[in-house]
Amino acid sequence: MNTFRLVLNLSLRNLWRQRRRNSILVVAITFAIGGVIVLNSMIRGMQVQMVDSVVENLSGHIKMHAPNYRDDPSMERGFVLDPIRVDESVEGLPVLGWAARITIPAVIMSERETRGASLIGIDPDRELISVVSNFKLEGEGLESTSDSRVLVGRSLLEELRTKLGRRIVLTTLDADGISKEIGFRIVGVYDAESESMEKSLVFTGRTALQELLNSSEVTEVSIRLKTRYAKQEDFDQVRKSFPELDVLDWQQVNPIVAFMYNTVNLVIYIWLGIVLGALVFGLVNTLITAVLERIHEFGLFRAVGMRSRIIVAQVICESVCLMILGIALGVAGSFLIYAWLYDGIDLSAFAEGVEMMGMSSQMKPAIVAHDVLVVVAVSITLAVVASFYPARRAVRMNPLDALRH
Amino acid sequence: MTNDVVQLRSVTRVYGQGNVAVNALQGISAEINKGEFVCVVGPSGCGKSTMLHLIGGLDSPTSGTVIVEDQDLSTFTNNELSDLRLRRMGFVFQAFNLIPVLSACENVEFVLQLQGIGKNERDTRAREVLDSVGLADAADRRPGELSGGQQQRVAVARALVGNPLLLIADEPSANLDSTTTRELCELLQSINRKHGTTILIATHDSLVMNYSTRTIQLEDGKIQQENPA
Ligand SMILES: Nc1ncnc2c1ncn2[C@@H]1O[C@H](COP(=O)(O)OP(=O)(O)OP(=O)(O)O)[C@@H](O)[C@H]1O
Ligand SMILES: [Mg+2]
Repeated sequence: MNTFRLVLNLSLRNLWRQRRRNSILVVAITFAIGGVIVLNSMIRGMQVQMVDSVVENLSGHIKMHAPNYRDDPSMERGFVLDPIRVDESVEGLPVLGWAARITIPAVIMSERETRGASLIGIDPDRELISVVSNFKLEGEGLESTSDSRVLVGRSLLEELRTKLGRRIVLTTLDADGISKEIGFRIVGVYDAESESMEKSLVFTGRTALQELLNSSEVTEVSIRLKTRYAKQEDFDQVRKSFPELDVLDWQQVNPIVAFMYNTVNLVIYIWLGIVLGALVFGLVNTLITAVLERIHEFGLFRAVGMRSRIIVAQVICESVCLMILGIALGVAGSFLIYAWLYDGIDLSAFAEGVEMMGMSSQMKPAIVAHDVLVVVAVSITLAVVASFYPARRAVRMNPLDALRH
Repeated sequence: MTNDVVQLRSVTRVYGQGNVAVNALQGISAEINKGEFVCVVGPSGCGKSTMLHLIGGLDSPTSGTVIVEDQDLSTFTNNELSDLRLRRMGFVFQAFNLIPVLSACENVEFVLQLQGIGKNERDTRAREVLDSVGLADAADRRPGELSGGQQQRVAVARALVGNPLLLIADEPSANLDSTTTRELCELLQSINRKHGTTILIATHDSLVMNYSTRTIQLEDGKIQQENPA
């Protein structure tokens, strides 16, 4: 304890003695740490948005399909919906709601154009859990599950060169695998955040669609929780209730978005590595200078009986003190920037690229405590590691040579 | 158990190798008893500093044995040598004796701090010792704000504060005028008499020699003669 006080006291005074040189380093650390945390929070914000929008865009937190449906989405690979069983399977979970749907590929023809899209049979009352309830609509929405009219996205409407109120013809396969042509009236046109959604999804009433396709089945159930992420236990519980179905999370439902999500995780650590690596060089450099100009002093200390260990501790202590000061300022600075950007950054200039990743054009940073802790822990560890070589230099010479230095 | 604080037995120290080898000490045997005030004298380059460094465990002999308090220093680890210097010896070097970032008082105190002595006792003892070297007023000044003589007295205070068995000083008066030198010597003498601290000084200065109880004269790494005072 005594010795620790002495070491700390000596370190702080020596840092102060070279305050100009050291403050330059502290500023560098501040910027590096602050920059890492700010960038981190943006990336985390992006991830949060990715997940939110994927979950909202019909995935939900937990999705169930018949096995093989994903290989070949069709009415033949549906299952009979038992609402009571679904309710039971999510009992005790923080459920916001669930919805059963039919999602099948269809070819859409207007008077002038033909396009491919997904035809989705929904129960509008249950779609409060998805983006469908937030659509900006021209015309009307679907009235009920037995409504046999369609909602078409604005972009698709334009591509089909048709209009609200007109009829379109959809060709799809029924429950027996027989091709069917069905005429629908366009009851509403929706605007979504994502253009690709507008182009590819056409909605109608679920029971109406079942009747048209001679089926009593659905192809998916999507469960939305009140929490941001579903826990493993939540999946396990639902899986146990539906052993005959594929129970999937958003990552399995959206492998591309999941890939980006996970790549971004990696980017965070690569970036951290690069920045802290550069910092270590600066730190080692400063420490070596500090050690060399005090070789004399270290020699004297050892000549009067200070163990080398304590000299080493002094150098490590100086390194860590510099780092801690830089971290404190960097973290404080990054939190200020975070507060400043809290309402989001407008990315609409790059909207198209951004949209691809399933995000909106407003980017909100999100500070994750765990990330900050990792940055702090790694930098302090590096401060210790960076001081090894300079500390060795401090005690390498024997005390007499050091005194003569 | 003998009365010897230090025993040197056929100690040699060779610096370098081959053609450039320097035989700084060529088979020295000597004893220093408890309570003595010994001056090591001789022309420049005769091996005075080398001898002191060997006794302080700062250097090791090429051959021969250095014994301090009946213990052969060659059996000591580096940490044990550090502890020996910390607890049993006090050092005063010719120059650069103080830590620039510490005040005079702290320069004295840190020795006690390393010994694990509590804050209050440390402070009292450091100030007492500074008072005894006549620097009570300068206790809170940094070395840069002290004269050469004052710095040297702080170094003596630091060497004495741990109540060492042996005080080793290598040309402590080299940077001092005769008045200051005399003051310093009187201080050392009074400590030698009051506490029985054994004192070993390397010096050219006849003024210093006058205070000694014995001188060891070196020439070319050999003991020329020993003169009891
Ligand atoms: N580290 C060293 N490397 C090589 N030779 C050395 C070293 N230290 C001392 N010597 C040589 O050993 C001899 C004795 O040196 P030492 O420093 O003991 O002399 P000294 O009596 O203290 O002299 P001075 O009165 O000038 O301080 C000298 O010839 C010196 O050049
Ligand atoms: Mg000398």
